[in-house]
Amino acid sequence: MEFEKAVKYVLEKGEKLGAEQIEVCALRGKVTLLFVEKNRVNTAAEVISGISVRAVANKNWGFSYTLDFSEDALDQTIKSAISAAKAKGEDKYFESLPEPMKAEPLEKKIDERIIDYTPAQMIEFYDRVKRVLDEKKITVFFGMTASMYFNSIIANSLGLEHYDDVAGFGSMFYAGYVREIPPALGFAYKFVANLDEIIPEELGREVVKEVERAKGSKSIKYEGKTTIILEPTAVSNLMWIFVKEILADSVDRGATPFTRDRIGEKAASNILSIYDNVRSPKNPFASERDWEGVPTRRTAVIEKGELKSFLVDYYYARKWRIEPTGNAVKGGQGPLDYISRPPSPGSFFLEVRGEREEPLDSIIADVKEGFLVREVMGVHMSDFSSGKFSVPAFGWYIKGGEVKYPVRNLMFSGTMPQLLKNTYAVSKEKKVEAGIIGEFPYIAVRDILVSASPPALKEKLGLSILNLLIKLGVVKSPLA
Amino acid sequence: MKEILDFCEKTIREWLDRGASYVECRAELRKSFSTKIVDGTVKSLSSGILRGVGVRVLYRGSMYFMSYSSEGVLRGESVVFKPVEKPWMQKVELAEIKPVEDEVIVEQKRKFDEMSPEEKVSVLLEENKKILEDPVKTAETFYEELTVDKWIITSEGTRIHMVMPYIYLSHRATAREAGKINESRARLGGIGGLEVVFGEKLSKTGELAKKRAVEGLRAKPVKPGVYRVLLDGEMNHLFAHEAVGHASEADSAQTGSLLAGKLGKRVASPIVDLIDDGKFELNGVKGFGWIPYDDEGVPTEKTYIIKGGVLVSYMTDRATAKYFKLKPTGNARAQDFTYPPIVRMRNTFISASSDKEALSNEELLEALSTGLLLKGGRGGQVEPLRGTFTFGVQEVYRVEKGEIKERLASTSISGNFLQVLTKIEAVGKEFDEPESSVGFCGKSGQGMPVGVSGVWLLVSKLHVGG
Repeated sequence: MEFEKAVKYVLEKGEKLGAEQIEVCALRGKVTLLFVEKNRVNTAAEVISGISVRAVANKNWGFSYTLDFSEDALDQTIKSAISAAKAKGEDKYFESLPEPMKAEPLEKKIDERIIDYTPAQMIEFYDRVKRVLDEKKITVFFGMTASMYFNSIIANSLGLEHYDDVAGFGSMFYAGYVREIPPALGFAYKFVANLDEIIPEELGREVVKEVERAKGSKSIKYEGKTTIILEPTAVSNLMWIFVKEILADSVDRGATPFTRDRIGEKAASNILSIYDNVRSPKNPFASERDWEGVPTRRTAVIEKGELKSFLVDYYYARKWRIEPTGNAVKGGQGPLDYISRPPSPGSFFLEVRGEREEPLDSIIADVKEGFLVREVMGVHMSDFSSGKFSVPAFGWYIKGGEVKYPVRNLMFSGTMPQLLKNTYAVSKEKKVEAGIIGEFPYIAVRDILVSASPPALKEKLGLSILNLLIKLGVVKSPLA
Repeated sequence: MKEILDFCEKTIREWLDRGASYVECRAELRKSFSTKIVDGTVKSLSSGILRGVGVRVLYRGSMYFMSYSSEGVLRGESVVFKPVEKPWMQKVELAEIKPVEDEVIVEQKRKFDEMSPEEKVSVLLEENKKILEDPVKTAETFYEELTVDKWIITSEGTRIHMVMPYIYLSHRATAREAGKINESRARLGGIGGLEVVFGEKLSKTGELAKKRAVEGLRAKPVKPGVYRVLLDGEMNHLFAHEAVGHASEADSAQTGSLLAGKLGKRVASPIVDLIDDGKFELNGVKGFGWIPYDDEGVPTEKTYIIKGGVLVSYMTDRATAKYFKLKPTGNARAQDFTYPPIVRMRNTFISASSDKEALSNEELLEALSTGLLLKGGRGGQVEPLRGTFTFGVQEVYRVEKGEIKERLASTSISGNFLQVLTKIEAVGKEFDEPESSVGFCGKSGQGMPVGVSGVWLLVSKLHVGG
């Protein structure tokens, strides 16, 4: 059955098969990928189409999905969704699927070149980045380039109907200078809706810059509370904790420090604001509506330090008697997840902003002692309910307002509420990042517990000798 | 599946005609059922069927991957690649294997459909409600069944049919008291039928999540620093998997990891073996990473990565096996038909290189004397190029003169895995339950079920962070 016909079929058949209301989300997509690990190249092309159904019965909704568009498969999917709704039992807070609502129009243009981007073009793109890195004797450990195109229809039996097309092109490179051990590493990433906005040589130069500044890292001893300046990548990674804590489902069950009774209270430093803005012109997947068809908007979660709102889908909006923020998301790791997972509250494109935004240089100049942190690891292990985290990091030691040298084996810990409250400066400079997708500045935070312990003398000596031998050309770097 | 299998045969013929040297089709039918219960209410209940095929083609020394959902197969969609060659591109060559024809259907003592969705939901609702006892303010229960019916058909003559049923349960409990919050989790799962979850261990899993949350809430924090520690079976698995395992995946070693160039060299204490076992089974329970064949159709085995402290192999797929002149270990796995297989772990753990030197848990506590006992992981991450690892610990206990004293707050540990491997002083002999240490490992955007637990380990120095 044709894609559009399958949508109509489900809407018409749903009520006949016993659904009180029915919603269908149909998606087709084309994804082309290039993975390069050092000199090993792998390309992948996915062509995917599928349908998911939410059916209402017994004052609740059930969910089912299929990749088959035959009448039998669609009937079975509808029936499964209905029986799931019944098995869930009545939910006194469930009222309805979303009714049609008017959305502010959003101007966007699909770059057709992204849809037709081929693996061969991706290899050419990669080759241009690689040439920049080769000049500086920098090795690419991992590179990934992706072109994605999705066409979706969300419709329900209440008359809601939304057609959408999105296309994006992204590329990331993780590279290093292997003539020192541990190697100096750096990465760069860009995700755009228009191919004119991504130039391979520029991406290559960004990787070079990141690797060069990581050269000669030290392992130091440090223990105590100090100031840290988080770079946009680190902010994006740590925002994973914050986003979990402001989702309507986490808030509703109290698995967060940011409870509903705290709306209007101070939850962060006065200078800090955090928005979710799927409509950002910098978001290649900008959309007028969320994955339930509810109109999207720029939602202030924290504004000038005050807790303003949460990320709310239609269900929790009805339960709490507030307006939905248009934050029903789908998806996960791959295109199949957009089909096999029901919509639930989530963030689309986070924006962290400062009341006063300063140049990064002046923020650094004001730090007597502290660390500039580029990357953190293991955020997913954090306690999302309390916001407690403890993460290894890579960064630079700052002394007397100057960045002194790169430091590895840092560990810093704290809680998300503490991090937000102790933020005292936000930079003018911002970057689009992919940890939690959004646009993030550098933020300076005081009184963060940092610990670092250097390796034993024997290991330190061993490393120094190895690096000397590599420098003299006596031995080859094991990573070369 | 008939039309999909026909599509596979046709695709293999077409690519061979075009000059491909190897073609591999992986056809899958994936049936799933899942539910999420929060605080005594069923929040989601879903089921579905995914059907499609992933095709890999080795053409002029480059490997290409294409995937199609069932609609694409029916429409006969195909992708034609224009080959590109660059001087720096490494030619892909595959280690030779013997083609296999086999069928493996994992037995379920109690089939998934023996209980209706309503019955499953009713039992899980009760379990969820039991966790909700003051000071636990919120409890989330997630349950999932997945049956993967997979065919691997290659141009070399391999034709394998496998039916693998996965079952998984996790509880998350959040305790809140006097302005403090603590979240903990417990898991149960395996490969088999309803018997894995709906048995006597079901209630114990909920109780464990509750105990961890409540005790952790009231516990004092650990002072950050370097400690002498005892790792339980789950932490053994986390360390073996996250810290060492990822760095000994042959693709990492080829790209660059701290274990690159170290084959045949001592990398760990001589009492240590590190194993990745494709067919791990203990007391009839299969590890969550149990696979009889990998996604290239290579039979799996018990793979020694480190033996007596010496690095003896990497985990390989056919391409990396050829590159390192190792034998294929059956570690090529793909999340589903939309992904190409890459080198992945299965059931990974450290064990004693000699049974004679292995100690009981009691003996290990005595040997630790004073330090910390770390139990129950909360995920982890490694940076193979620098060797830096970190992972979360759910339960921390102070140990004094071999006796377990008070519980301390959950924390994380970190370090450099090469340093920690040499600091393993003693290895246990009592294997912790494999079904409670199930997880999903992420790599290159693909999530993969992995196991398993392990024996306890005594480590003389480990950084435990605040």
